[in-house]
Amino acid sequence: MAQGGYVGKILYVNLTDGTTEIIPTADYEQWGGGHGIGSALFFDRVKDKTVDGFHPDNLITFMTGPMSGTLAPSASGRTEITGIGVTQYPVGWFTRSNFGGRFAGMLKFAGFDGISIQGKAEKPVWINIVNDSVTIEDAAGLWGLNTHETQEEIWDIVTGQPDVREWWGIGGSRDGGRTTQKPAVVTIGPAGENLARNACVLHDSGNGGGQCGFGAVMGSKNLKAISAIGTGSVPVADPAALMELRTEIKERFGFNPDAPSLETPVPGVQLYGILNAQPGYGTLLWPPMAEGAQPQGCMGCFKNCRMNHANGYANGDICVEGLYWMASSDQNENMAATTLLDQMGLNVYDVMAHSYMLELYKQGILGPGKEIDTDLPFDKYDTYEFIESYTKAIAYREGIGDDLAEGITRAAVKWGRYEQDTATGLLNRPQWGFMEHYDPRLEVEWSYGSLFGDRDINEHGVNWHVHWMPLVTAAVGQDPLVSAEELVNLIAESTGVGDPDGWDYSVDGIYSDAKLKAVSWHRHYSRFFIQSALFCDWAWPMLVNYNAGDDHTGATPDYEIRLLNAVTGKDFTYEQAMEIGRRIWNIDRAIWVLQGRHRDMEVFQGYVYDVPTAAPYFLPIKNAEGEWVFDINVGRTLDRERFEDVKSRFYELEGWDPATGWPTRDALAALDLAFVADELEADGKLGS
Amino acid sequence: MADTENGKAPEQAAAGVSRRQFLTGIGGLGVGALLGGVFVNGFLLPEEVVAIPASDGYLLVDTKKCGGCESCMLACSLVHTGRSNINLSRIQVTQNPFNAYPNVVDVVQCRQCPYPSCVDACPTGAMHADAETGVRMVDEAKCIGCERCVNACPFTPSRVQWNYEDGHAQKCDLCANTPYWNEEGGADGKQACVAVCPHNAISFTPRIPVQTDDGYQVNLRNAHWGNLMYPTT
Amino acid sequence: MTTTELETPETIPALTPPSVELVDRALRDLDYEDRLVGYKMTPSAGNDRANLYSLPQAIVFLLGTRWDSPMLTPGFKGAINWVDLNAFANWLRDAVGDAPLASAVEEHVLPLDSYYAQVQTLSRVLGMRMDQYREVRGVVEQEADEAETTEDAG
Repeated sequence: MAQGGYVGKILYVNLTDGTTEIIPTADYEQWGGGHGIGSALFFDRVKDKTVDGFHPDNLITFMTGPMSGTLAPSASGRTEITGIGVTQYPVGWFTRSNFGGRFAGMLKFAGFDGISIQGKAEKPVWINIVNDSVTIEDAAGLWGLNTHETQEEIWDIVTGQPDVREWWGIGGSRDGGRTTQKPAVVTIGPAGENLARNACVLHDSGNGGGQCGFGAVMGSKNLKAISAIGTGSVPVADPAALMELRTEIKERFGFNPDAPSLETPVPGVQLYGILNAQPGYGTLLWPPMAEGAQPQGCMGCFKNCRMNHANGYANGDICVEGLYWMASSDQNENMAATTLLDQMGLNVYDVMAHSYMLELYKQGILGPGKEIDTDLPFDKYDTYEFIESYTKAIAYREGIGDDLAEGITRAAVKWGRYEQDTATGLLNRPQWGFMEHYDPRLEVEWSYGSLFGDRDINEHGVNWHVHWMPLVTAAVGQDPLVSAEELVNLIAESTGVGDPDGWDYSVDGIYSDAKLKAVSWHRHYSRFFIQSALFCDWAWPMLVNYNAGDDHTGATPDYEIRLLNAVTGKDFTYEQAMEIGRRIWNIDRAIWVLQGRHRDMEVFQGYVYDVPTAAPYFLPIKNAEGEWVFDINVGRTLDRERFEDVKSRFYELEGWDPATGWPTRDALAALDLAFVADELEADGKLGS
Repeated sequence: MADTENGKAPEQAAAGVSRRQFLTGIGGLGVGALLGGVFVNGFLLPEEVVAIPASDGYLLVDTKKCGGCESCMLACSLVHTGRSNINLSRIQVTQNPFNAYPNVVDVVQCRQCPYPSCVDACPTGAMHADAETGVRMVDEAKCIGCERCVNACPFTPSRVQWNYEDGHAQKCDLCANTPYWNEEGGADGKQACVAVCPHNAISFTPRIPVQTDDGYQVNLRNAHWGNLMYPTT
Repeated sequence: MTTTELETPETIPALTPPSVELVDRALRDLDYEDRLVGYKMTPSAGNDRANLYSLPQAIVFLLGTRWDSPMLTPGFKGAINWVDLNAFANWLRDAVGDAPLASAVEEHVLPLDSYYAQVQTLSRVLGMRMDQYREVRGVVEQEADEAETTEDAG
């Protein structure tokens, strides 16, 4: 079969001396794409893995996947970023972020599978990619602009028009190709320029790569933006097979907006979109304004979870940024706050800590002349004036914003409140300074995965089914669409793990060997399929299907593999792909160990062990009678001793030394990572 | 719009104005007049124009239902060329994410004009109306690359493009020639963009649609779309 | 797929009208210690603590601004806003200071099977009581609108 997917070149840019280099993608294809290639490039090219994220030697990579820019459904639009982060506490681990839109596809149409950047420019620059032409341009005219203004300015510079919608030619002759498209730009805002540790990178209106502070890393390199426009093609090994898979997936797993097989039983219940993937995800964040709205999707998606709105605010925003600030009774203002956040280039998950600060304010701890002194108008918390002054204070490091731009965790440390407030849960940061996402005491593949890793994992593929399906159906007074027993069996089958006990969230279930196998599966699956092959996390894995009547069989794992093989012409099997995932997870683990990771550091903050859950939290459990039920799991904590035992058993399962958490030579060698073992050994950090 | 009522221009054409002048000198009448619509049969078109049969099919696009995912573009290039390239798609989605609904997304597709200036402009007969279906399409072997068809299209962006990778003009053929698709395409078959659109925002019709200079009057949104809280009117 | 039949009370007897003093007290802003803690459940962010510092704020949190279609109504974000309704009843009595309303919630709302049914019925109980407040003070709705804005996502 013909080969396809990759376009063959990775661009390496050294900003210190302004040179570029082409790295053949073929040298790194064994890693799949995306994160795997980013990790391998980092390992090869960064000699001292302990450098700080702000150090010029930190190498950040923007990688596409083999299916980027193709018709592979919900697997075409994501870009993975890797490098040392600056948000995590106490150590900025080697880490990742990821954003949607059309940057990945456009970069490949320009002829590049990725861009790897090292060094630091003398003065602000931006990288301009127009097909083969790569130039490092002066960003003096862009520095200081917000993320949206920057993109409009670059569109104008590259195409000669701020809003091109007609054919324009590249390269002076017609052979260079023509396009109607705008360059795809990823940029930083004022927050990144000012090295705010919670700065994101942003693309188009609302595609943010938020977690880990890569906006600040770009800022530290004096890199304002990367722009790509291209007219080339992405080869596809078996086009007819890809087309067939696409229409099959649409028919079987998609939401038919003209004649849906599953619609919300209560009109207006937006959350139902989680189950049936209705366009705009059922207006998950905001109902459309009276003036209307339309769904909006990343390149090649078959679900299109976001929206464009009549007020022009929050276009393309779907995730946590939509929850940034909800205090106004005027929906326009709430949405405007999200757009302001995007424009300043801030990661919502860190800066939405204004609610934590409000609690401190209400307690009399924070405010004008108080222990934590600030003149931010918390007395007007419900006004746009508040959120605007708060947001800009962080982006421009004004007043208390200078503390907050270090991230809320470092700010709380500086204020002397971190240990106390994470012990009570007032500040709910379970690990590495990251916001609690899903409950770390209950949904443990999320919390274990985050703690054994580098950040908040932010992977919803299991969560949609085990948590949201029973919750949403209960909220509308409906029986679960799938019983607890059928659900765990479907997941056990679809993942290939086999043992349904892996999805038992009971008091004992969260410590079981079966659970640890499920956690391990989750790490390996995500590292390959989500973060390297770049299947979108909001669509894949499809472990259970609600859109085909009584047939709840999910698309995973058959369709992922068939799509990959149709595009690349390779002969992946699911087992091989999972092994690549394990390999990537292990090279990452080795980098963290070189950075100082040790078993002793892998503990949650106090509230996870000591403060019981207070709100209902639906998850399947196997009860004392051995029956599977959905329980609300109130009053639960994580047990310290049992979790310590979990660590020992999980390390062994992964081939890591139970005493230290360091990978062993045998385990690394089995993954063809002997060179990684050598480096660990040289550093005295090889597990035994 | 003007396309529904004014008989003046065709009379002038009949009185000796060349077809080219007819196309370019149409003034206030607007390109809609060239496109027909429900009153297309009322035009007094010169004989040789009438001799070009109407297309047996048209693509309808509801931009208010479009999600901007560009899957139609990826599918179009894939089934025709075997490669993935939005720039080689015969249907074009353009977006400005900083605009407000409904001005974020434009989708433009060939309208299979009753009076096809692209066909008229072609010196070799490469651009032609298919004998069986009337669909305006390119015989690539006859294309000499003069791009007159590209420039003749009265719309912006032009619905005819130069395929810079394969060296010939191309336009929407309603998927008549799709060697990389296992389905039968064309005016009497399927269309790849219709097949892949997640929202069914593109549809095929055998009848010439009601239209203005701005495009067809299309609403593909039914009550289920309304259940998602999106506008249906 | 089945939908649970809602068994909600057909009629809810009217409460004794409140005094002006009761209404004034019940609508005041509460101290930090007297707050009610709720949870906003969203797919992107999981469970998020929400501190509620007044009765109007709690009502908006629970029911949105359209009481005819509570909980997940148009005008709301795609969130399930949850409050322990036992705690809510206690809070009405102890912190807000409307014992008759607290008793009505205990009698008509708490015995219902599902949270969905409880919130549906709660909207009727609260709606009735707010009509009485409005008769006494005529400004409740305005305050509720204003109070919506102080919701805190903890």
